[in-house]
Formats: sequence, structure tokens, C-alpha cells
Amino acid sequence: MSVPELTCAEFVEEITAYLDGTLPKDVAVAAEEHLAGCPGCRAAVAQWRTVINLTGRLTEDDVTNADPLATDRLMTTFRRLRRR
Amino acid sequence: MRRAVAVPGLVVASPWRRLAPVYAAAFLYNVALWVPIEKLFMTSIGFDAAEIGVMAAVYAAVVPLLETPSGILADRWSRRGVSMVALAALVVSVTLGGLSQNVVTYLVAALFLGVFLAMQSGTFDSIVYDTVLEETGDSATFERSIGRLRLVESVGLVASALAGGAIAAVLPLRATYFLTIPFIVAAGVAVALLREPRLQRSDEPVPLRRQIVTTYRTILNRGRLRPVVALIVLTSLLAQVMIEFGPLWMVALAAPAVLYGPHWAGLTAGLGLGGVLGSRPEFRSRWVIVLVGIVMVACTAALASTRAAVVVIIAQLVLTLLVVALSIPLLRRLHDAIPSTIRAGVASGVSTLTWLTFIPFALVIGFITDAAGVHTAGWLLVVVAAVGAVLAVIVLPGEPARPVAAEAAPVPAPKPIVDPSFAADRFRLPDDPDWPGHWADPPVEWASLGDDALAQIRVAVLELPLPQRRVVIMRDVEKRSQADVCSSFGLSPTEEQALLGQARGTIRARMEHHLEGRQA
Ligand SMILES: [Zn+2]
Repeated sequence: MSVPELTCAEFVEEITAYLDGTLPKDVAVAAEEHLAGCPGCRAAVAQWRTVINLTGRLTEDDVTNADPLATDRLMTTFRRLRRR
Repeated sequence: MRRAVAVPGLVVASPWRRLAPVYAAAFLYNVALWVPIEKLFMTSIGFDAAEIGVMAAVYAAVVPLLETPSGILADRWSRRGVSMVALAALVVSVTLGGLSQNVVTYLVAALFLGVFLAMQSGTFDSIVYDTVLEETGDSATFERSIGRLRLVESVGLVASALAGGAIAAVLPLRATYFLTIPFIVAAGVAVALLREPRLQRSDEPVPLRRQIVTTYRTILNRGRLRPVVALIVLTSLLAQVMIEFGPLWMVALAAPAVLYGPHWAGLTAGLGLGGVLGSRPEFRSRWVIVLVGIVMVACTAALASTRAAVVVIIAQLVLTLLVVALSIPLLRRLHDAIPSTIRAGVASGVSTLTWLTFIPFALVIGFITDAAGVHTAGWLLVVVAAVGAVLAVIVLPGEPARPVAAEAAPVPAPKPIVDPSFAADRFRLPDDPDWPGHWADPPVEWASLGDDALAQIRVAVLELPLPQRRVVIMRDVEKRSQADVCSSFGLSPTEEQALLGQARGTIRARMEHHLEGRQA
């Protein structure tokens, strides 16, 4: 069975799915192989983890948009995104 | 208390120049030369006591009916536009009033005055708040701005009332109405020159029904807002009782006629000076608020117990001054807690609530005064003042919270952040002979983050477009699952991953820019 090769440019596109563990099996294997041999992408993953950790230290008060109309606007935006 | 994160490159501008037309207009439309002779003029065209009661009922019906809807209209359409329509209604009212030969025409004029009052209420305060927010990025100078507005309004009112009396001495009573019209037209010109704040513009249109529901729900339900609204209602109640019923004490004490002029002038001046007093930073200190509460209760106790005219006058003036002063920081708490999109609607709604509370309160005061005398009615004021003092000590001390609308303020962003997170030129080209698609400029591990890393992250999150912001908050701040996010917003997993990836990528790029000085 052949494992597809990933370039760095392709790997960083998949960082979110890689960290969430939602990559298809064959791509996940390719990602691990790529990381093993690529310090640049390991640094990229470390930076994303740092960002996720720091964001996780924010409280809801720090970032909550108290605008009660915001949710409504948001639904409209999502609906429009989907229509495209 | 958490402080707002300072955004580098943000120039703190002064709102005064932009507010100049607001102050000019507020002075000009408060010029009402006819006010001191109105009762006299009404009698001269045939009003009796019952018909004066009908006129009061006209206001009582029109103002609360129109106030909140016109505030919502100001939020959805234009505050300047609503202000112009209000001034047009005022011109119609004053013209009709001056032309009136009978009761019916004058009642129609009163109806238009009601339309003006309803449409104007909340609109100017909202313009002032959003202009301050837009120009300075926070609401710190709001109290001073609104204090000046109150001062300008009362100067217009007092000066024109004095002038109106003098004019009526040499010209027909009607002349005071017609001479008022040019001032209103000039106010309209000032409003036309105003650059309206844009903060209430929403990113996406909100259905009218939804906005109405949100506005009323905010006025009546919001936990954080309820004590503020209650205190606004109580302080306005006391101020209104002083204006409407204050003279009753003078009558009951058979005060010499020479005291009536200074009494009235003092009350009106108190409205303006209270605004200046309330905008002072001392009004955030707990001990000052406690002291103000004690003096308020003492003033009402004096009204309930003393029979010396001079003491009663001083108690009334001090009480008016203090409740107006309290209303200034309160108004800031109110506006800080509501978003710009529903600002004028909520402000008008609170004003309606005040009005609706005043009517039964006034009836009770009137009833007690008839039955047991004005001093007994004074004990009712002691109760109101005591409740107000306790609420004030709870609500007012300390730094106000961050305005909820501030994050929508057009803060100059440090630079549009790249999308995707890693710019294309950081990779070798796909046809690179050695290593296609590999890093040309690889990222490095961040050794130390520094104290302000979290602040940077927060600003980055707040500056994200709304869909990305909400997704990253749910996933990374609230740590909810992907399935939760998808079902909350009706997204597919792929869409959720795309938004989350863009959000984290944007935050990462900002951190990289911050830590390494790298241009995105
Ligand atoms: Zn790589």
C-alpha cells in the first residue's frame, strides 16, 4: 500500500484536522511521517498548540460579545456562507 | 478590575469638536420663549382647569406610546434623521400654538410637542455616547460630555425663560411662540452638520421584530442592568417631583412671593449644575456616594418635617442637584451595558419606564397632599431617597465595566492579518528542483512568550470576523466539542474545521508578528 507524500505547504493546510484527529487514516499516517523528518512543520505544530493553550486561558468574559443581536447576525452570515 | 487591552497605534482623539453641533443644537432647541407665559396664554384662549388636565393626558398618552418605537427607529434608520423629524414636529407645534385661537388647536399643538419629546428622548444621549466611543475607543469621557450637554440644555431653558418673560411684557403673548421658531430652525441646521456615529450599524440586517424583542427584553430582563434602571427611575422620580410639586411646599408654607423666582431659577440651574457635578471622578468613590445618599435622605427628611421656607428651598435645590448628579454616572453604566445597535431604543425605553412610574407616584403624592398635607407626602420621598441611596452605594462605586459596544469600535487594526496563516512565499515553489513545497522560511519554536502574550491573544480573538470568533471561542475558550459547535450553528464538520483553522491561523500569525516582529 502506498502512502501519499505531503509537502510542508500541504501539511500546514491540514494542521487543524491533524490536531483534532479528524484526518483520514492514510493522510494521518503521511502526516506523522512528514513530521518525523521536518523540524519546520514540528515548529509550526508547536506554535499552533501554544496558540490553543493560550486561547484556552482566556475567560468567557474576556472574549464574549455581549451584543444580544450578534447571534442573530451570525446565523444570517452562516446561512449566507452555506448558500455559496 | 480588568483593564481594556491597549491597542498599539491607537490615537486617543478628543470628541469635543465632533460634539460641537450636538451642544449647539441642544442649546437652540431648549430655547422656548413661550414657557413662562404658557399658562397665561392658555387661559386667554379659553382653557379651564379640566382642559388643562386633558392636555396633560395628551402628553401622558403620546410620549410613552412613541418614545421606545422612535428610539428603535433611530437605531435602525438614523439618529440624525429622527432628530430632524423631531425638530420638524417642534416647529409645527410652536407655530400651531402661536396661531391658536381655541382649545382644540392648542391641544393639537400639544400633541406635536409630545411627538417632539418622544422622538428626541434618548436620541441625543445615544449620539453623545457613540461619538465618544467612536472617537476615543472607550466611554471614559462620556460623563463629562453628557454633563456638558445637561448644562447647555439648562442654560438654554433658563435664559430663554427669563427672556420670554421680558418679551411678553412688551409684545403680545403669541410673539413668544413665533420668536422661538428661528432657534428651532437653527437647531435643525446644527443637527444637519452633525457627523453621525456609525456604531449602531449592524454587520447584517436584523429583522425588525427581533430588534423590538431584544430592545424590550434588555430593558426589562437584563440582570446587570436591573439595579441601574431601578436607580435611574428613582432618581428621575425625585427630580420630577421637585420640578412638578416643589412649588406646593412654597404654597403650603405661605412663602413670600419674592422667593418664588429664585426658587424656580435654582431648580432649573440645579438640572445643569448637577450634570457638571456628576461628571466629576469623585462620583465613583464609595464614601462620596455614601455621603450623597445621606444628604439626599436628610433633604427629604427636611421636606417632611421643617416649616422654615428657606430650609425647604435649600433642601429642594440640594436634592435636585444631587439626583441629577447621580444620574450622570448612572447613565454611563446604562450605556456601557448596552450595545450600540439597540442604544437609542433602550435609552428611550428607560425614559418611558420613568414616565410610567411617575404618573401613579404623582397621583399618590397629590392624594396624600390633599388628605394630610404636603409634609406627610414628604415622608414618601424619604422612603424613595433611602431606597435610592442604598442602590447607589451598591451600583455606583468603582470603575465602570468595559463598554459592551467597544469591541465593535473601529479600532485601527495593526495590520490586516494574513489568510492563510503562513504566507505563500514562505514555501518553495511547486516546481522547485530541490525540495518543492518545503519551507523556504520555516517557523521557529517560540522560546519565551512574555507577560502580554495573553493580551495579544485576546485582541486577536476580538478582531476576528464574527463567525470565526464564535467558533474559536466555543472550541478553544469554552472547550466544547466539534459536534456541539456544528449543531449550535448548523455547520458541517468541514465548515467548522475551515472556520476554526482560519481563526487559529490568524491568531498564530498575530503572535508571530508580535514575538518576532515578522511582517505578515
Ligand atoms: Zn514540513
